[in-house]
Amino acid sequence: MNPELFSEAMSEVNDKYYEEAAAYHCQTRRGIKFASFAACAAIVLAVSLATVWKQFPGQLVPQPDNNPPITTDPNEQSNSTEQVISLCINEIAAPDAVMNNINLSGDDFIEMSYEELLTYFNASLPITETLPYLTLQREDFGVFRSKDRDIYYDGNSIVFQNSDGSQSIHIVLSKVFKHTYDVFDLRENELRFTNINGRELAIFHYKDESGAECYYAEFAQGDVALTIRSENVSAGDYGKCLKALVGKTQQSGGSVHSITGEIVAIDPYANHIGIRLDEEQALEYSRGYGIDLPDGQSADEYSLGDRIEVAYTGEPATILTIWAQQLVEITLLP
Amino acid sequence: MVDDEKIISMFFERNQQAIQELDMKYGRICRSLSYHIVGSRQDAEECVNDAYIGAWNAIPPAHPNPLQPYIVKIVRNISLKMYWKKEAAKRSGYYTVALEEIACCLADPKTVEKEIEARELAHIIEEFLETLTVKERVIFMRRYAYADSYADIAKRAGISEKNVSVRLALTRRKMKRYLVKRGVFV
Repeated sequence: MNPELFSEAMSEVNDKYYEEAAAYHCQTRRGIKFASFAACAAIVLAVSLATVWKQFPGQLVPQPDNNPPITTDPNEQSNSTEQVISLCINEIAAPDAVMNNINLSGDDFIEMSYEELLTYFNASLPITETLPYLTLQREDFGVFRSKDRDIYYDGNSIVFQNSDGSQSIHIVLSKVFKHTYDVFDLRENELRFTNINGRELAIFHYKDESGAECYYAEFAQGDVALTIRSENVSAGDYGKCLKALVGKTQQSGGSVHSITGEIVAIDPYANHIGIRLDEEQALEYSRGYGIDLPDGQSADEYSLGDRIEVAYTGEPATILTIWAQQLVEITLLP
Repeated sequence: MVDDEKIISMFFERNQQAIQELDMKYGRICRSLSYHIVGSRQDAEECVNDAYIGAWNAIPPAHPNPLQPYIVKIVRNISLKMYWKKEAAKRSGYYTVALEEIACCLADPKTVEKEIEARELAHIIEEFLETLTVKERVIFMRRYAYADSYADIAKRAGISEKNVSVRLALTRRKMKRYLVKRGVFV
């Protein structure tokens, strides 16, 4: 066979394939993102997070307060952040926060200092060193631990803000219960990635209700989930922050990644499936992945217990979630 | 826009308005397809005009339903003839690149049974197309039937050009496996 014969054969294939290809146009659909699959699982509902936020203002929702600003160690400053990063932005509507209700008991709260928190997450947050006009606000951090569940909630919001509060960077760190945002409404159906330190991340931009210009990204560093949101910070400065926060890798641009696991959740309405990664691939708190299926693929095509291999480009656009736009292929495994 | 049935009835009435209506409805698609194959606006125009004449001569008795794939295939065949005749040696244009991509999935002509006919191969390709998802199939058809560029496909499919490239690479790999299984590729 040669290309000429192939060309000739392509002219002979049934009209219906020509028609289908001519009629097909992608539908820009609302990109409904689920909370990390791990986050959805097995947490007894009782007290809403909103209540908890009031009880523990250091958790997740930043509260204005008068605590003296804390400057992080300037010795950790990295010159590498000076390089200007060109961001490939995904325009979205303001995302909605996940409102999972978690049975958090005040008796289980263990207070931590900022340094203890960073040690717990094995993280470094050189925001002040990168953007000297921002300083750390608040120091009421901690985790929830019980005898029977050990640490069962560790989401902490860290806020860096300028003197009049008009500019800020909000970082949420979490590990055992991955914190993420829920609903993203992409203005275009294409998902763009920005290479930060060798990693391809999806960066979003929106205006919040108060009119603040916000940039937003989620990524995992080992088993720790980070969400980075800015308010009225320039794209250049936001890029510098990401560069300071994202661990370097040797990942090559455009590469296809794959994960394998067993389907443990199917949501035909959201056209979404959840898988539990094979043990050898998964970090302790990152076994559950959500996969949004693109138009033309239906969650109904799969069954609980199916083993699949999922190929995708970029990093999961949001924590432990592969968006339809980055999905390359799902293969059923024997 | 006049519907297909009306255009067909104009052909049957030998009303030359049929050609105009056909051109208004499908001319842009036909010119784009032809241009992607022959790589020249002038040649594409010629191919499309020849295709219209072909349709005029064939209808009646032919009564194509639907009309679009019918005219698209005529344009494609005429354009391919011109391509093989004039353009192949230049190794330029969208279609050459598309063919170079697919060539790695096709065995060397010396090593494969030459008896396979285009029609038979088309059946096998149809069976293969059925194993793909709608989106994969559309991307494949847009590339290798309509000779679209990656940019055009990306726009249509709502994905990035890079994603188109990756998806096509995976589909070609699948097709190669499929052809091997069917004994077409040795």
